[in-house]
Amino acid sequence: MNVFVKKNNRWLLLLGFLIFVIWSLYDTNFSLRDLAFGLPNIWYFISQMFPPDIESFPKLLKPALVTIEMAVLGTSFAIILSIPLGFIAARNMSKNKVTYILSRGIIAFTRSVPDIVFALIFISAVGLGPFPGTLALAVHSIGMLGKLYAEAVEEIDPLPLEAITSVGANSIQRIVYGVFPQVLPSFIATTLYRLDINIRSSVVLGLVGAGGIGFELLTSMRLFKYQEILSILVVIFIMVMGIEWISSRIRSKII
Amino acid sequence: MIHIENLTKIYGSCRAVDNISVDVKRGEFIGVLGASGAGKTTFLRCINRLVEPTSGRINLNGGKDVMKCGSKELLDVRKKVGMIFQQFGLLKRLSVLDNVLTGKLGYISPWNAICGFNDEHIEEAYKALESVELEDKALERASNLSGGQQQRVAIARVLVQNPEIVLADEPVASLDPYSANTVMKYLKKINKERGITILSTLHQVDYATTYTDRIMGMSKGRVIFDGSSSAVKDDVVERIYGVKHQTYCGEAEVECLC
Repeated sequence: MNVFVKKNNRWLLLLGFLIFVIWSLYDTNFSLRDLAFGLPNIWYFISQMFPPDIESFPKLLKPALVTIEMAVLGTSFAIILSIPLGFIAARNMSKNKVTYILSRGIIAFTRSVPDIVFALIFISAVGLGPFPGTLALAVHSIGMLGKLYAEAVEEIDPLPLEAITSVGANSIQRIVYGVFPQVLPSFIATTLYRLDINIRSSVVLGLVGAGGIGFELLTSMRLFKYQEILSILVVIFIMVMGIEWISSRIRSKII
Repeated sequence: MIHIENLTKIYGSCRAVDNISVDVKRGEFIGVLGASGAGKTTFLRCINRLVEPTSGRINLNGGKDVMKCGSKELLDVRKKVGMIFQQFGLLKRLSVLDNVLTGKLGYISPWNAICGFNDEHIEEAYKALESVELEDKALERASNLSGGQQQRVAIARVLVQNPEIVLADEPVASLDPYSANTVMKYLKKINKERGITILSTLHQVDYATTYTDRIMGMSKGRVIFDGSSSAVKDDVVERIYGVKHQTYCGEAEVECLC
């Protein structure tokens, strides 16, 4: 890419983008006027939430724990499935075209189908609750983990691997000793990031009936228990921040 | 020790290694000289089939023709052939000791890949590090070492492999002259003390004449000189690096190494 020449093109690109933005404002019924008139309603909604219903905290702990468990379990299953897929989907590891394309296909498919859709599918199979939510997170996470694992494997330095090959290592040893040490930091960073995402996703999945604190949020909203909604939001906030803190600690320790 | 017959490697239309036949005696230290793209690296890698030769025969230590070995037998061949690389080929995040231990991989059972090293292996790795005088660096990260030290770790890795033959691919090309001489001395030492046969590609003629017993000159994939190191005079050097000789198929070679 040449940054300094052909400036005309850049102006055209910018102009095109501006036109698209204006078009989008129109298409999405964007209206500051409506928002201004609606402000009192927002105020009403928020004022109804205060003070938060402190008495509901104890009964929220279990659902919050379930949400975290869903995320951790879902991520763990996803890791187990994604590592082999990631290796098969790495161009420098996969000699077989069929398995390469197949694994790329699985990874792309699980990434493009939203986790909510997977949750609905699994709910129809096993009923409401955290179990289908966990399955949905596991399957959908393969899309991102598999892709980023494969990219990490593709970026390894081929030389240490060649050296490991030259000592007479078999294919399992080549992966364990030649590839794994090189991709481990990147695998861990990717996985922790996915865990962060899954904590938030598992809240959302609760809203469609897949258990955990999201399900409590759904119930309170249906019953217009505004004060309880606020206490649930506080719990979610603490939960998300806590997990992010823990994972950033792990990340800085390992990498 | 090494008996090679009509070894050929063809990349597309380029004969990177063209019909090479050569015999190497046990304990010889051979320098393979040639301009970039002359096919030395490919030739070396054909011997343990890191590069798959197109045709030819390779016998190591009177064993089966390497070309006819199945994948299992090939692992046993490689186990006995150590290899040194220009860029060292160390796992940079692992400790020096771990890197040396990987030389033992051919000796531990295939299914024991995760935690297969026992105390005996570790002791042997320390001994190998002692012989390249790096035992005090054993627990450091490989990336913290200088280039010359990293190459010595690579030599230690080869030593625990207990090989009969060592193939060294430009072992000193990335090193400063001082480290280069140190590394060449260690190669010479393992050659003399353990009787390991060494084949080493080299860029500089003086390293070859100083440290090796015999020199093979390559050009355009062929051996154009083969004789005692002391016989290498200016005219031979000129023939090997001939001004008329341009890089013959350097690009093809680079591509295939990846």
